[in-house]
Amino acid sequence: MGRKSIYEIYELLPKTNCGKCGMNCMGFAGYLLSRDVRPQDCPPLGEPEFEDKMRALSELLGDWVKNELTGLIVDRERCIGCGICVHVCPVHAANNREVALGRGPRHTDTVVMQIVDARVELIHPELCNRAIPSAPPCKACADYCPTDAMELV
Amino acid sequence: MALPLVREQAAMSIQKFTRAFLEQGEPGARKPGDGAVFDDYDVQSDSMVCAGCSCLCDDVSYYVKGGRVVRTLNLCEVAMKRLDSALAGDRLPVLPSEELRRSVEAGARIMKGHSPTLVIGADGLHEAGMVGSWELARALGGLWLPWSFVGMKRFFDGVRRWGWAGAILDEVRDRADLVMFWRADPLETHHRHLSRYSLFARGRYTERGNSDRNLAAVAAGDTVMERLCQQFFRMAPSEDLGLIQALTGPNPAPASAHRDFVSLVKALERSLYIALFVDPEKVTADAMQGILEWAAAVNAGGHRRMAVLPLWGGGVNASGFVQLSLERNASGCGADFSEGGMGAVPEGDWEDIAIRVGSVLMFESGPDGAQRRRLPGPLLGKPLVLVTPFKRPSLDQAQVVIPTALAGIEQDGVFFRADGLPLTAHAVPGLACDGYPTVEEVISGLLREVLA
Amino acid sequence: MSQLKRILIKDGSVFDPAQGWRGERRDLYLSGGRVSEPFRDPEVVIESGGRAVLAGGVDPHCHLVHPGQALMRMFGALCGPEEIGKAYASAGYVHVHHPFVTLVTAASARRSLALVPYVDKSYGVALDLRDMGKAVRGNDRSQFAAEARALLHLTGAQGLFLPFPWLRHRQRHYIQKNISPKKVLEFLSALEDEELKPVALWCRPGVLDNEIPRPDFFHFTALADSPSSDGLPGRASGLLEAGASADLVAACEDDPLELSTGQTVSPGSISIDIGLGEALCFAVGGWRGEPRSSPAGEGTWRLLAAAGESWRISLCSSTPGRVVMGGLPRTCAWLVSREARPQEVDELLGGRVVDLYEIARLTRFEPARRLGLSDMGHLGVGARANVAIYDVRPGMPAGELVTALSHCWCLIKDGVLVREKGEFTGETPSVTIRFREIEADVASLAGCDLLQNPTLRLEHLWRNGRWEARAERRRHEHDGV
Repeated sequence: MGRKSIYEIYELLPKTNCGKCGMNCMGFAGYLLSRDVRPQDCPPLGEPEFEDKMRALSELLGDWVKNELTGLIVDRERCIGCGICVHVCPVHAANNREVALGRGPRHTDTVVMQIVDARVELIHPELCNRAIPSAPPCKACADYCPTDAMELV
Repeated sequence: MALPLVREQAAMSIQKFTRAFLEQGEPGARKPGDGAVFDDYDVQSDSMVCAGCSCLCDDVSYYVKGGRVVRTLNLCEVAMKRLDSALAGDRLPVLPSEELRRSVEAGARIMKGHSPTLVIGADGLHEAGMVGSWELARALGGLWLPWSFVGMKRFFDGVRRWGWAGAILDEVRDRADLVMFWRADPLETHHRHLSRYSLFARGRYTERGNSDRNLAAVAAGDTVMERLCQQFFRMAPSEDLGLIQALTGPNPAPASAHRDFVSLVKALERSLYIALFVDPEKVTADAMQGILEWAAAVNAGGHRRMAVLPLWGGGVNASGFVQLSLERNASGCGADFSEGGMGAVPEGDWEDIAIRVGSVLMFESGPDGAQRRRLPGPLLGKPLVLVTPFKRPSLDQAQVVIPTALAGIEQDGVFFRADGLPLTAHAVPGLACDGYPTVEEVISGLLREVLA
Repeated sequence: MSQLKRILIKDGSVFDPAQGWRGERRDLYLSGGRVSEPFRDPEVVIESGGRAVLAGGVDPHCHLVHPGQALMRMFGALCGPEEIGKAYASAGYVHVHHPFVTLVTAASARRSLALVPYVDKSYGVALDLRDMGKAVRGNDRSQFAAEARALLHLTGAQGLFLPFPWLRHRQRHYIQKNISPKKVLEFLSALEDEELKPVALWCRPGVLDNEIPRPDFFHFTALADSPSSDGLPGRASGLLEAGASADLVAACEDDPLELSTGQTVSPGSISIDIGLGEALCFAVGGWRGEPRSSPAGEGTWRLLAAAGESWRISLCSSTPGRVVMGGLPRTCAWLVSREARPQEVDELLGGRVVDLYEIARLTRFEPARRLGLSDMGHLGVGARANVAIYDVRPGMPAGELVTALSHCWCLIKDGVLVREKGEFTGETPSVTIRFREIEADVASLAGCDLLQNPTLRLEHLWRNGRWEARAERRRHEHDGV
């Protein structure tokens, strides 16, 4: 849930395979998907004839922040600060009774993420299950995000 | 050793693994780091109450520096918009005292000259403002109505006929194993409702959070909540009664060939506690009656319980309005003091009311569009006295505009949670306030002029 | 607030069980809001002319301000706060006790109570065995006592109230946490913390069928409210002889407001889950849907017939209803006068007649004592100046007697003359909500279920001397600024 499709992204690229970004368009789409590059890293996209595609691509990808440790990508424009991700996080469920019961974390709590200025922000990403190699796979936050603001790569 | 370790861990649930990890640690695993510590502030307040909606979250933190809020914790987008609007330029300038006095006089003249006056929007005010507005409406011989008047009337008409089963949100969190949102969309109006109370919070008998609950919703169009629902009905309000009758009939038959109907029937059968949140403004009168009748039948059975909880989309303090209205004039949805009336609820809808009133005194407490608070169409064109913190489109329609402070940000105010519990939303400490008068001060001035 | 005057009540027939005054003609001196020693030059002299003088009445059990209860106003089954206060004052009452709030609803109750004029208020707090069941199952009395103290401390309640002396979980997979009434009552009886007693026990059907090892630890509220049976008076009198206290409901036959609890809700009623485990239900209609033939139930009359002087019983109204205080004055009138009461009630009472001394005991002295209001319910020196004077004469016609007891001739509340010659004077006395101060180590209990489970943060459950919670604030100082 919340994950964009590489084909969605590819459709919005020039598809000229000019190589100016150092790879072909499908490859670039893959790196865009994992937010390792930005649309501006594709020179042709900056040209007037591709203005609409640039706009659509920027809208599709949103104003994102990526955490390398966990692979969590947060689209800050789509996040509405509902806190669902904070409350479904199994780290919080096991570790913080107040959060488990539905109350927001305190500023002194050790939490993976918290709602800061109405957007989710990672506080201790090193606690996330995804940061631990042997942990079972976890994608609760992205699965339950109602606005597709979270993606895991 | 890594591979066998992975296989072993994979058999464990995420929750168990996390517990074990936090208790015992794991070789090579990362320990909690220091994290980024935010310390660029002058004043920090914790456990503040947010008056952005009737969730009335009490776990908000504000960080203030140089008289401005620089950071918040646990505030949703609805509240953030209100805060931004309040602090970032979407405000009317403070009136100098002489101009304020003249505005109050002018407002009183308009209301006295065009009676009866409709006093609308008190359900968005804090308690003191609400009480003052009631006194003013009575002194004016006017009408005192909430934004959600039509919906409230609809709801209480149903309550008079079928009774009502309610619950405080603690009980919903603890016991509801089937949660329904009937034309109420918390992800539009009450962002943290699902996480704090109705779906994701882990209560006494819902220890697994949303896994212990079934979520169903009825809505007219697209909603982001759909992806969280086990059953979702996209249908017009006119079809509600048919669905209710189909669900409650002795031999439930699909109201239509809806894909989720059978699933909902099964969920209803196995549930012990149903919490149905409804926006009475958005359902038809028949459907509202149907829902309350349904709940009455379920509760008479004794085996299960069904609580019907209105989620008002109008004023933030709608629950407080209901409480005050009951205490002062034995109705739940306002009062009519015109023609020597003792405060009974006026008949009719906005069109009927518009025919009767001569002017409007409108109270505003939220930025435009944040919730459903626009002057009902039939009332446009009436002489308007506007008491508001914000710049609004309706400024153009108003003959008098009086800017005020905002409760819960610039002044203290008592608000009532959706389930009727009162909490004080304090002014944010350290904030540089611009000297706006409070709503109750403005009302006192208007009352003085009216009675003079 | 009105100025407190020096008042002399002259030549009243004073009834006060605390002083042993059975209608003696005496003067009463009130000064500074208190009963005082005799003084000269009173500012106000009230010529009682032999009228009955009692301490201000105390209603030990009236469901006033539950969440959702105000909705009954829509059905005409409940008066507004102003009317309720006035009705109590008319009947010569100065204090009313709301039986229970919960930890979460305490603020709401306090707000609503503050709206009722003329009378002081207090309230109890409900014990929620869903949160405290662990201590009961584990027989951990010290933990239970600590949590109970925290509950009293945080809410400011006068005492503990146990609506359901059992724990039955509806959610099937929690059945192992069920606790039987036997276990609950044994457990509570063995609590050693005397400050927690008495625990008010709601006498719902079946409760009195259990053995109660220490009756004196409990206050049995609505004792005769269960369906009457031959065994009830005997069982109840046994408990009262053993030192328990109890209140008997004297509701009114016109009372349209019915209060009950349960999972089954009758259609058309208002029910609300406030955290007791079962819903509180308010309905319009007579008692259990049947019209009452008398103010009080059969069980109440039987118990009153058998009541000994040592019995610690009081009369309460239970619900304010539309006819506030309709039942209490009528019940008192029927107790005092055989002519006033119907034949069937006279038979139930066995022809017994009580005097105003006994009425003072039932409606002033005992309820004040049970609530721990040591400065109320009596007219000894130092007591609060709460005095009700009734225009009651021996041999009064029945109808006049009821009216005289429903509309006191004079009422002084905390030294302020509220009623004079049967009319309100326009003076408004100060009213308070009585909070009880009890020490509790709340900080060490912050992690327990009781304090963690509310949806509100712990700091918003703090009473902090005011009815609304205040947020915690702190100032951060850095770089020496």
